[in-house]
Parts: sequence; C-alpha cells; structure tokens
Amino acid sequence: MSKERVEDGAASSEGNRAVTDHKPSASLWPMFIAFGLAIAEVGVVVGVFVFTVIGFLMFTGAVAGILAEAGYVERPWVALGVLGTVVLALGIAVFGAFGGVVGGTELVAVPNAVAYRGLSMISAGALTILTAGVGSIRSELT
Amino acid sequence: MGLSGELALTLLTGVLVLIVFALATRFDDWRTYTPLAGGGALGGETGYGHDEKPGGIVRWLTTVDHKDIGILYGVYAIVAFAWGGLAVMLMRFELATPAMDVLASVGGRAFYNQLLTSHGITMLFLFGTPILAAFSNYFIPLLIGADDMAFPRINAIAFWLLPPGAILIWAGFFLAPFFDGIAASMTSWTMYPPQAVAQTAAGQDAMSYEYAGRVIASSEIDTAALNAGTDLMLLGLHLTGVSATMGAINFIATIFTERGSDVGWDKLDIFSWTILTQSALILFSFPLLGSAIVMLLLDRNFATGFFAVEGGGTILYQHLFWFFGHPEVYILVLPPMGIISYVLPRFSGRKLFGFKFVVYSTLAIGVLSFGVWAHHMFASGIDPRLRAGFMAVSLAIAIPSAVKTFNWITTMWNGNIRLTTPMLFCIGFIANFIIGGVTGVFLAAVPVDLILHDTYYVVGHFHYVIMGAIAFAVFAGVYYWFPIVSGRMYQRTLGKAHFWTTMVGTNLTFFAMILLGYGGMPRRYATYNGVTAEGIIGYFTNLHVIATVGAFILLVGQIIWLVNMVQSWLEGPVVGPDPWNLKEDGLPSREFDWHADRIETTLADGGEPAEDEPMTDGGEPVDADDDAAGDE
Amino acid sequence: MIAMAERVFTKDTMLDLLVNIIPLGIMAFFIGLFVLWGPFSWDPLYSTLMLGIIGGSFLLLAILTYISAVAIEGDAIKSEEAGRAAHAEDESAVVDTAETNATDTPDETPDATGDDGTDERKDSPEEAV
Ligand code: HEM
Ligand SMILES: [Cu+2]
Repeated sequence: MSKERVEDGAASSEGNRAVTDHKPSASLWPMFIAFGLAIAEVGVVVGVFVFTVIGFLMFTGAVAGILAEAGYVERPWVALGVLGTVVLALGIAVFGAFGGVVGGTELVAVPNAVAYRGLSMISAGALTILTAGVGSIRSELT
Repeated sequence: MGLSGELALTLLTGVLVLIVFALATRFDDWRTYTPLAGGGALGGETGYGHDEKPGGIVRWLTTVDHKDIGILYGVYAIVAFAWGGLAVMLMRFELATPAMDVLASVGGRAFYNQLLTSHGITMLFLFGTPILAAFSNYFIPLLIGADDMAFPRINAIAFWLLPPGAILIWAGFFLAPFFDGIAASMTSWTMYPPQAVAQTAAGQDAMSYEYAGRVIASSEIDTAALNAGTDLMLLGLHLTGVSATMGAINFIATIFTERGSDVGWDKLDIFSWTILTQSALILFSFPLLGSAIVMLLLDRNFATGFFAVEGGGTILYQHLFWFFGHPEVYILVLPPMGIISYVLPRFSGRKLFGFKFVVYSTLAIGVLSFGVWAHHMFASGIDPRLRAGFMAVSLAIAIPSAVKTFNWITTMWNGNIRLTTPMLFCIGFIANFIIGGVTGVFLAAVPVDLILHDTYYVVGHFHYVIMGAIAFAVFAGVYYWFPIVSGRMYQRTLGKAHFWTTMVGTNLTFFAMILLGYGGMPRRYATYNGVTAEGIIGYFTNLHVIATVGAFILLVGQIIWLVNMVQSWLEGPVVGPDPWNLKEDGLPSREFDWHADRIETTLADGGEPAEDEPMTDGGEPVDADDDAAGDE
Repeated sequence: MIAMAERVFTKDTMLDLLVNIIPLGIMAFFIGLFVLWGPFSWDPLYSTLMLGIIGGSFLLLAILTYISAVAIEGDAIKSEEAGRAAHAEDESAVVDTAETNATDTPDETPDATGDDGTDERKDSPEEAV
C-alpha cells in the first residue's frame, strides 16, 4: 500500500518534516493546471495570442509548483525553466516548419496562421524561461 | 489588432497572472495542508486527525480531499443536468405542434439543432460521467478502506478540467449574441463529418457557395466561414475526455493498491467492481474519442483530410467514434448497476442473490462492449458480413445484462422489502431497464435495425436506459447516501413525490417515443408538418403531445427534488449512526460504519450531539477507538 | 499457479462462471453457424473480420474470466485459511463486510422496521404519493 511519497519539504525553508502516510488535504495548484491547460488549448487551436501565452504560463507554473509541493523536484524554478524550454522548442518547430522567418525587413515574418501560432508559443516559452530566471535569482537572494 | 498590440495586452495579462499567483502563494502557508498534521505524527493520540483545510471558498478551490471533490463533482453535474434539461424542455415544447412556432422567433430550426446538440453532449459528458464520479470519489475510498485516492492532486486536476470544458462546450450560446460568425454547434452529439467539418454558423455548408442564385459545390472548405462554436465545443469535449481518463487511472490505481488489508478481491464490494470495470473502459475508449476530435479539429483548421472523401471518409470517423461510443454507454450504465446491486439488497432484508454472478457479468460486459460498436452503423452500407459479426456479439452481450436483472428480482423475491425512496428508485430502475434493454436487443438484430434506425424508436430505447435506468440509479444513490454526505435526512414525502413524478414522466415520454418510432417518425427534426402520408400527422402529433406532457411532469419532479435536497441539506433533521437500520438486518456496510465512527469522534471532540434522532434508529453505538478517521 | 488453478476451479466456481460461459457459447454458436452455413459468400477481408470480431471477443472474455476467477477465488481461499488459522479470535479476520456470501438468506427474518422512519410496508405504496 504505497502512499504518496513526501520525502522532505525540500523546497521549504523551514526544514524537513517527518515522512508520513497521510494524504494532503489542500493544494493550490490543481485548479491552475486545469485552467492553464484549457486556456492554452483554446489559444493554440483558435489562434489567440493572449490565451496561448497566458495559458502556457499558468500551466507550466502550476505544474512546476505541484511537482515541488509533492516532493518530486527540489527546485520549482528549474522545473519551470525546463517546461518553458519545451514550449519554446515546440514553438520554434511549428514556426519554422510553416515558413516563419526571422530577420529581413520585417524582423519577424509570419506568413500564415500556423506560423503565427508557433510565434505565440515561442513568446510563451520565452516568457516562462524569463520568469524562471527571475524567480531563481530572487530565491537565491533570500 | 496588430502584433505589437497583442504583445502589450499579453504582457499586461501575464503580469496580472503572476500577481495572482504571488498573492495566492503568500496568502497562506500551503505546507500546513500537506500531509503532515496526522494523528500519528503527534504521538498517537486518538486519531481524528486535525488536518486543517483553509476556510470558506478557498477550501473548495484548493481541496484535494476525495469527499470534497466528490461533492464538487456532484454540484457540477447537477448544474449540467439543469442546463441539459432546460434545453430539452424548449425542444419538447416545439415538438408539441407539427409546425415551427415556439422557437420561430429565436432562430428556428438552427436553434433547435443547437439545443439538440447541447442537450446530448451535456447529458452524456457533463452530467452522466461526472455524477458517477461524484459517487465514486466520495465512496470508493471509504468502501475499500483507503485514506484517500492514490493520487489526490491528480484527482483535483481531473475535476478542475471540467468547468472550463463545460464553458467551452456551451460557449457558442454565450458568444453568438456578440459575434456574427459564431453560433452554438449543430453537429449533434455524434459529430459526424462532413457536417462537423464544414458547417457554418447558420448551419450551411462551408464547402459550397452561392453563385448567380445557384449553390455550387467546392472541394475546399472556406475556413473563415466555419462556425467557431464547433471548434470550442470540440476543445471542451477534449478537456472532459482528458479529465475522465485521469480519473480512471486514479481509480484503477486506488482500487489495486490502496485496498485495506482485509479487503481481498473476494471481499471487494460490487460498486467498486463496477467502477473498476468502468475505469478500464474509459482508459481504452476515451483516447479514441480524443483522437477523433483532434482529427476533426485538424480537418477544420489545418486543411488535413482525415475524414474527407479522398481520405478515410465519414465511415472512418464512424468507426472511431463508435469504438468509443458504445463502451461509453456501458461506462455510463455499469456504476449505476453497481449502485442498484449495492442498495437494493439493503432494503430487501437479505444479501444480493448471486453476488459472484453480478461480478463476473460486469467484467463480461466490460470486455464485450468493445466488440459491438458497428451495431450503430448497420444502416451505413458496411459489408453484410461485418454486420453479421457485430450482431452476434451484440446478442451475446445481452446475456450478462439479463443475468443482473434476474439477480435483482431474485434478491427481492420473498425478501423483507422496505419501500424507502432509494428502494423505489431501484425498483423503477429494474422496470425501465427491462424495456430499455429489450428494445436494445431488438435493435441489435440487423433486419429490425434497418427499419427502426434513425427513428424515435432509437431515441426511446436509449432514453429508457439513460433516463429510466441510469438517472434512477443516481437518484437511488443520492437518497441512500444523503445522510452520510449531509449528515441529515431528506424529506420523505418530497422524495416519494419525486419518485412518482419521475417514474410516470419517464414512461409517458419515452414510451410515446417508442410508438413514434414504430410509426416511422425520424429523429432529429424540429418540425414534422412536411409529412404527407395519410393520417399519420395526427398520430405523430398526439404522441408528441404525450411526450411533451411527460417531459413537463419530469421537470416538475426534478424541481421538487432540488428543493428537497437544498432544504434538507440546510435544515433537515440530523441523523444518527445507522439511519437505515442496516445493523438490524445484518447488512452492515463499510461506509455507514465510517459514518458512525465520524459521529462518534465528533461527539468525543465536543461537537454538538445529534439532536433527538428522527429515524427509528436501530444502530448500536460503535466502539469508539477502532479507527482513526484521520482524513476528515 | 497450476495447483492454485486446480483449487480455484471447483464445481461451485464453474457454476458462478456460468454467466460468462453462456455468452461464450453464444459466440461459439455464431462462429459455427457462419462457418458452416454462412449466408454470405467468402471474402478474404470481410469474412476474416467477421470471424475475428466474434473470435476476438470470445478469446478476450475467456481470458478475463479466467484471470478474475483466479484473483477472486484465490483471495477467498487465502482469507478462509487465514480465518481457520485465527479461529480463536476469528471475528476480526473474516468479518464479512460485503455481500459476498452470495445466495444465503439471513436465517431469521428481520423485524419490519420502518423505512425512512415511517411505517409503510410494501402493500401500501399509495401512501407514498
Ligand atoms: C445498457 C445500457 C445502454 C445504453 C446506455 C444504450 C445507449 C444507446 C444510445 C445512446 C444509442 C443511440 C446512439 C445514437 O445517438 O445514435 C443506442 C443505440 C443502440 N443501442 Fe443501446 N444502449 C444500451 C443498451 C443496449 C443493449 C443491451 C443493446 C443490444 C444488445 C443495445 C443496442 C443498440 C443498438 C443496436 C443501437 C443502434 C440503433 C440505431 O441507431 O439504429 N443497446 N443505445
Ligand atoms: Cu451500442
């Protein structure tokens, strides 16, 4: 009967707590994961820039949070950075595959609706990585 | 809006989200709620663990407790039930007369088709599956002696995917007043292409255009003319599919790994068996729905041709859809069968007759439901040899269902029957399920189906099962477990009124539909004044009026139910540890033991004593210290 | 495993499994029917699919029935043994919380208890309306 592992409160500054067999009773993240996923999905499929960025930001942030809370990762900001990189890579792939071009007179050329979606994912990924960077610097300072 | 404008807007909202996050994390020390405060850690005092939860609305938004999540599922499903029910009331009023009149001013046939689509999808995906998840979330851990689900946080994620899903599925209705090119989807719940791929907001075909007064067919979809309401609905459906799959994985893991040490496979209760089987069905079938939906979305937005004539065609879609669709109907019916098998014996004064018959037949239904899907496609022109194969398996699957019916009746035979409200609903279930099942077996015979396909007979068949049986079992469960969930008793008279209105309404409405089907009335039409055959219009009209009257009675019944639930939840009499006198009949059950324990511990903690007990309460006080109900 | 299987598939178990053996029989019957007196000519693709659908369902059902019977009856045998071992204070080891004792009726008929508290019996349902 293995219960969920909560090895130690590594991400918490208050130090470790005992390993227990009890289940958690509240968590902030599930709702944000679900809403983030929904918003990102709408953003990508319908092609709404704002939704894509917000959705991915919310989704990746909450996933990083829940991983840290459950003790699966030690540093949530690193997890966030990894997730952001994945989104960025996906975005670049879509953007490139559908003929998006960087440089030239327009700086960023978005030839069609699909490349546009790629661009929104690139923005989402970049913003996520930025957040992760800022976050980890701040948490190192404190 | 230019790209830079969008960027600015995005940044702004992004900052807002970050602020919300920051506030929320600061708001409370979330670690207090993570699993640390149990009795064990505090040196073994009696275990009514004081895991605090945050207060107020935040508690409900952040809970990962299986009981809270069960209640959330329940409330959500009831809201969906109301939406789907009101949609169908409008349709029924329209159908009371042959011509288009009631809905004429609000969009006519197109609006009727939108209501039809929304009703079907809402009832199956937003009411049916979630209301069963409400029961399973609340009770499975109690029934198998687990602390909680195997993955409590995933459980919460699965629930929170549903509200956005519903908003997206209904989005067409909300957005239509503001955007010309958006309307609620009109694809019906089966979403067959080419309609689902190429329908405009007016219900027209985006693959044809008008030129000089003539309609010209084109091989390309005019993407800009497509109804975005359908895209949103497909996305919402996809989310609910993800949610159901996550829930299923969680239940399988929970039932396999978290059973108490005294609950072997031979001791597993029947409701848990049906949930286990249901979860397996979800796991194997919902991914198919997900893929079909993604293909539809790609065909619509990215010019792929999965379901175009040159691609797999609409038959490919039908195979994918019904490979999911038929298991889906058993996903919906198995847990209700489990509820009936669980509740009915407790008011018959004896154990379930042939418990193992019921378990094995549940598993048989689970497997066989994957070998019958093409019985929905008998009329689509597939090869007659294929039809014969699917007919054979469809006839075989009728046996396990019949076995269960036999067992329920035998359990009641010579039993000491107590006609409580849950018991009435159990008996109603059996009666309606027999009609629904027998009409299903008729439809499974190819020659019969070729005549009755796409008539109201089919509508009558599945509503006998879905409304007459599944919803009845849900009500049986709601009444039976109401004392545990709310700590109070419902009003009996209102409960009885609810049963009789529902029973009468169901049979009026859906038996009329079976007769309509025999008469040849096709399904999915807003009007029938175009029917020319001699004398048949009168027949159709009369039966439609009867069906509408039945639906109205159903509506009244459900309002009674809602009033009863809300009123009793707030001020019903507080119940004792054994409100159903199960001990006296020698039919104890784990969840009521847990209930008694909880009352006991609350009392020991200095909670209010139960006011004078309103029920004839045969329950003995339970030994106080045998269990730490540490998860409350 | 073999030894276990032998102890599992007793006459009683087979009787319980009858509910699944009947559908298996129906499917076997149809396979026989379609092979011997098939109404349609043989087609390499569709005839195979037809028999595959029935045969596949047959196989899967047979396998699942076997596995579940071993799991259920196996656990039953185990808890029975545990119960015999702990016969002194047997109560806790073999409490039967579920309705697994299938067909037997409680020997003393319980009192007519009022249901949701009222006293109606099955002969007066009209009171309920
Ligand atoms: C047990 C619960 C059942 C449920 C919830 C259920 C539900 C449904 C639903 C929703 C449909 C209509 C699909 C549509 O929109 O076209 C349907 C059609 C059908 N059902 Fe059932 N059904 C059940 C049992 C059965 C059984 C036991 C059989 C036969 C063995 C059966 C045979 C059929 C057939 C052949 C059709 C297709 C009719 C047609 O479209 O021509 N059903 N059922
Ligand atoms: Cu079916």
